[in-house]
Amino acid sequence: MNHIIDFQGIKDEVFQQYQRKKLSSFSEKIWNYHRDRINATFEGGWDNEKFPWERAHQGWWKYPLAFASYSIPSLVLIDESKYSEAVDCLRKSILLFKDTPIWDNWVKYGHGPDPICCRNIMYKGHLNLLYGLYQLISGDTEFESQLIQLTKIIVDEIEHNGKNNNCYGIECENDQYFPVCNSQGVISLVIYDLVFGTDYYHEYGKKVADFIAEKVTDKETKMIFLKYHPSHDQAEAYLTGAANSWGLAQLRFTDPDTMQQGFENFKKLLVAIEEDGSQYLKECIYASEPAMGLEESFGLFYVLGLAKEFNDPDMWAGFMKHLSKKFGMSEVENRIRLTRATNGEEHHANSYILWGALHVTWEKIFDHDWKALIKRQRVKQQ
Amino acid sequence: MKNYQFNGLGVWEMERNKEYTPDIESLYRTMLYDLDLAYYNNCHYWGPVVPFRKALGYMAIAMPSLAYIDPHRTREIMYNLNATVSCISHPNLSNTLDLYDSDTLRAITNALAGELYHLVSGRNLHDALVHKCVESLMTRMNSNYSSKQSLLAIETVTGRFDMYTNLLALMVFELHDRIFNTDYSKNKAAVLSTLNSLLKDPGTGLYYEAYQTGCLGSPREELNSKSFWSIKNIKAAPNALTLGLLHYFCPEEAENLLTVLKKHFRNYLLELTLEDIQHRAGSSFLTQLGPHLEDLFASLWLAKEMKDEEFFNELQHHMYELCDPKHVEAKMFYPNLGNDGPLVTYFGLLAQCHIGWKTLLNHSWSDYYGMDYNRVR
Repeated sequence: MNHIIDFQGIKDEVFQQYQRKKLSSFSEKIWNYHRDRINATFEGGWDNEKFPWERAHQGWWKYPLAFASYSIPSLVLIDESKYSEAVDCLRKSILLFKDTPIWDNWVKYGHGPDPICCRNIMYKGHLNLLYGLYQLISGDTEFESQLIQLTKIIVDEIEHNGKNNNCYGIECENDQYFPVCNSQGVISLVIYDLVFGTDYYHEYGKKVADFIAEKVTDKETKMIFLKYHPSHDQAEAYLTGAANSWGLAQLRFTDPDTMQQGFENFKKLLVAIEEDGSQYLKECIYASEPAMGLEESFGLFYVLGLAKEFNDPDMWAGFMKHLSKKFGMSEVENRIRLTRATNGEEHHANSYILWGALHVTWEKIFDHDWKALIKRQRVKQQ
Repeated sequence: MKNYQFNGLGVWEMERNKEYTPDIESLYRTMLYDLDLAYYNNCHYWGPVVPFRKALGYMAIAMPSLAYIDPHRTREIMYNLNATVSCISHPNLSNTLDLYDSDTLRAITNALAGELYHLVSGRNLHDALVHKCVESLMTRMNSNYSSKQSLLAIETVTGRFDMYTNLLALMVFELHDRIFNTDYSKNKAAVLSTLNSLLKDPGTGLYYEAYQTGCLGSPREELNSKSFWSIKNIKAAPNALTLGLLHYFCPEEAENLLTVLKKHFRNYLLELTLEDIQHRAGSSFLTQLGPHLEDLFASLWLAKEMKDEEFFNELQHHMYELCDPKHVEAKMFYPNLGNDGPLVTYFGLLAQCHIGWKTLLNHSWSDYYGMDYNRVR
């Protein structure tokens, strides 16, 4: 077992994967972990023997599953030779994402009869994006009717809320509007446009992003507030590590210059650097202690994708060092494993470590000629 | 090594500095997190439901003080009070009180939270609920008076009358009258007189625990006045809770009784051990904190109401010694208390931030309606 702590030494390799069209050794091994655990889960279920998921964390499973899947377009852009296993992994991930344990809490609690009927953008934003990414990357129409149906539900709800409910976007629960969850819906509309040639981003998605900028963002720091309550037209003026590491990463493409200011302030206000160079996240401005990666403080992990989106290798290396010290990041059987983490922690943390290792920015994903890529792959497979 | 050492200074300077102490900030953040979870779970609380609903009641009482201390949070508190009313009156939380036959408790907590929302926001979103609950309390009080009980008071649960519950009901009437220009408080003196005649200990002036009627709650039940009795225990929590509210209605009397209460209970409170207070949530009636912790926190709240700095600091220091709270991710937890921690959070927040009922009711809230944040946190 090889304990990994030197991320300064590999940061350039990790950050230049797209230009070099070559996966770093680290990325290869974290991808191996993800691919194998998805296969194991798909075949053996959530309690599979090799990579069991922690039932106590069931309410959170959708997040690691979704964010890990967002690394897949980047994986293909970096190394086309991974295309088949990447597409296969994404398809399995979608089927797992539709499985009951991922969404049943919301229904069980009585918010609605099914997970996509209304509100619940924390689920359907991710699901719509996963559907869209699959069709964009593979050209396969297996989920097309579901993608069309869900996108219609989302845009209709955005329009309805804009007219009747004091907000552009969709709540998770009644009166609870989270910018981060809405960011997934916004990206999903861009992807939908790429697949079908529509202009839903400008018709709906950009309005959601503008609403977040206008109502759910601090005017001075350009950082994103935790949430907004339509009933009282009120944003909670709290800057959290989780909301900003996720929100700034996923919304950067909507207004890069403003988001850059938010990112600089995020680093100034919420990131701490230790003597050994490792970096940690403070959950809020006046807290001095590191976020633990519990409950609402998953920003500790989202920050890895944020560092990639904003091209900040030092931040990525600093946070990776912190996580490695915390979880014992090691190479085991050609995969990255967290030897000091529980099963649940490992599923969670490794998902974002994967996203942070591979993500090439949303702009690169949007701008790529996916149709040409699909064509090349089809020729190759014949 | 202890996680935390209490420094009492900040608590008494908050109103002047217009800023929360770090502890208040953390307790408040803990509370916000629980409100968020209550929405996420659609009020299917993950722990014992009745204590959580009670905790929401204390949360509601704490909110106006939080807005008073930092007026730039008035808008935020307005929403939090709205959320508290929505949760506290939600069937998933409220229906559990059916088991305890606690219609009056339900009405008091719903009305109080709704009135405080109106007071701080000037908005009428929950007025219908408030009017309905206040009217039901008044109807109940009149019905008890006109029945063979002849008691101008309301019961906490069927057959049991407490000072604290009735004083809370009087506070609900007082708030309603101030906000809506009604006269529900017109019988205030008669209610207090009735309660004093039944529950006041002639020797000490302190209050007995409760008055029992023997009624089992059957409709039109013929009451046998021979079965009425007072539970003549004189305990710290019922008295502390009573005096805290009585201070608004009869300030001098309450202040005199504070001296008596301290004489009787100060040493007992300061000698409580961790073993006394651990794992007792749900085993006490008034606050669900457990009997000893209830004594400690009710007295702490009273000391803040009375602005008795020395008594407050003593109790708070002892409480920190016992509970050893821990700051985690900008929130405050009580690992020593296990599952009892959340209730302590709410009560600790209320006791520390409470500005006093008189200040709270007399404040010119309309000058601050909708005042928004001046800096991010």
